[in-house]
Amino acid sequence: MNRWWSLLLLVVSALVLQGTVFAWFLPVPLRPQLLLCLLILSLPFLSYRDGLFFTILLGTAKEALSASVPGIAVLVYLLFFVSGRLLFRRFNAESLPLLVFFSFAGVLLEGGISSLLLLFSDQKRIPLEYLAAVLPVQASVTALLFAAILWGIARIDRYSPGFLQIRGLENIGLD
Amino acid sequence: MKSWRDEKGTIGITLLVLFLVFLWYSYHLRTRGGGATLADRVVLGVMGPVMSGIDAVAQGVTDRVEHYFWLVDTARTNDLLTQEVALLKRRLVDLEELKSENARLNRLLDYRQSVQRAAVAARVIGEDVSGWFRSVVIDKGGNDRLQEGMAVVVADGVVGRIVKTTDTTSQVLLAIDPSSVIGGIVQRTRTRTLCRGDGDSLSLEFTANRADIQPGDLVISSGLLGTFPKGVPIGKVAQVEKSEYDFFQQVILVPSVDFSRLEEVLVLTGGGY
Repeated sequence: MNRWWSLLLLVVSALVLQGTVFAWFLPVPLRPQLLLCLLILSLPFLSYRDGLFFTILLGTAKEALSASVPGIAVLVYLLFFVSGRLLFRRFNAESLPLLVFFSFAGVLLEGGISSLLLLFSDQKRIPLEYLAAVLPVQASVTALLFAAILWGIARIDRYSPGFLQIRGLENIGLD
Repeated sequence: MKSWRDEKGTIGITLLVLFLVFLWYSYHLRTRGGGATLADRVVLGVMGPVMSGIDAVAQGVTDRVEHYFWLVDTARTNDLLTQEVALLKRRLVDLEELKSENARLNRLLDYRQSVQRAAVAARVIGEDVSGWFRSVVIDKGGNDRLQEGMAVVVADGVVGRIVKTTDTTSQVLLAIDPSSVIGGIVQRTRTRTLCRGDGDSLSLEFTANRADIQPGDLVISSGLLGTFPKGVPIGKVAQVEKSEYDFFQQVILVPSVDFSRLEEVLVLTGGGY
């Protein structure tokens, strides 16, 4: 399958899980941020321009199924993407704990930056008490789920090498 | 992965994209964010049917888990139960589910007749993916004459208002979202107030310290802000905190509607029959 079709399928699956299954069965703090996981997963594997496009796609998809101000999710994801690429250059990008830490920090940053940007809006807001109650738990759940996803990817790659067709996967220290 | 030096040529593009997205964001701040964008229409157009399908499958699975799975588990402990009995029980479960849905729809229909406004019934097919805004997606949109700003209710009370519509779906901002404000009246004392969402509950804003508000008081919509008709239940007062030196009192409401169990809703489309 073409790589972009695969990515699109992943985005749709993540949206469906996040917008339906997780929403029905999990309370708000326990709902992981799957789109952010996809964004982090794309950081080491996609080229800069492809990553930029993918980030805009993720942000747009998120905004369509959210009651936020248009542009805010794309802006936050772009800031996260650019800073992620910069950090990956400085640190060992092929480290599993770094990717998992990114997912944890990503949820906190996404909430914080969105909240800051919404200070300019007179109609939308996220109360700080609400963020403080929801974000730490959501970040932990997302990091745990992301670690499980990476572990699953590593298993698949170990027993069926080349099955996932992800360039550079063998370089990631998943084991 | 390319090194940052190799990617230097794309810095300009990145800055341009960031600038354009920032302009897009600030434009929507100025235009008060109203309506669905083209991207919203495309994504919701694709996701609407997918979510509807998943909703139908999930409902079936939930029904089985809630009503049938445990019965089967019990049946396993009892060797006397035959397959025929299990089949009959499954049919019974289907009938019970139909009966329950029928009862909900009947309540909705009764309510629809009582509100004396044209209304469209819709099914909730998805929720907000962000995690910090509270909204749901319903399976009716512009094709059913739904528009942004229309009120959404159930028999128990206020649900929210429509903030985005596509041809086949709409997004409803729930009353418990922190950016939702509804004009309300305390039913017992007729004190006017504003109800703002807190994420999971509601609170009354700008309620003077001297206003007589007690736990258990019902707050209904005032009809003044135009979206909701007068008299729709919003919530019951759960907690009142007064300080001698504050001008306003802190009042927490428990919503009349259980937002975790929203399935069918009514969208009030007209000003009256």
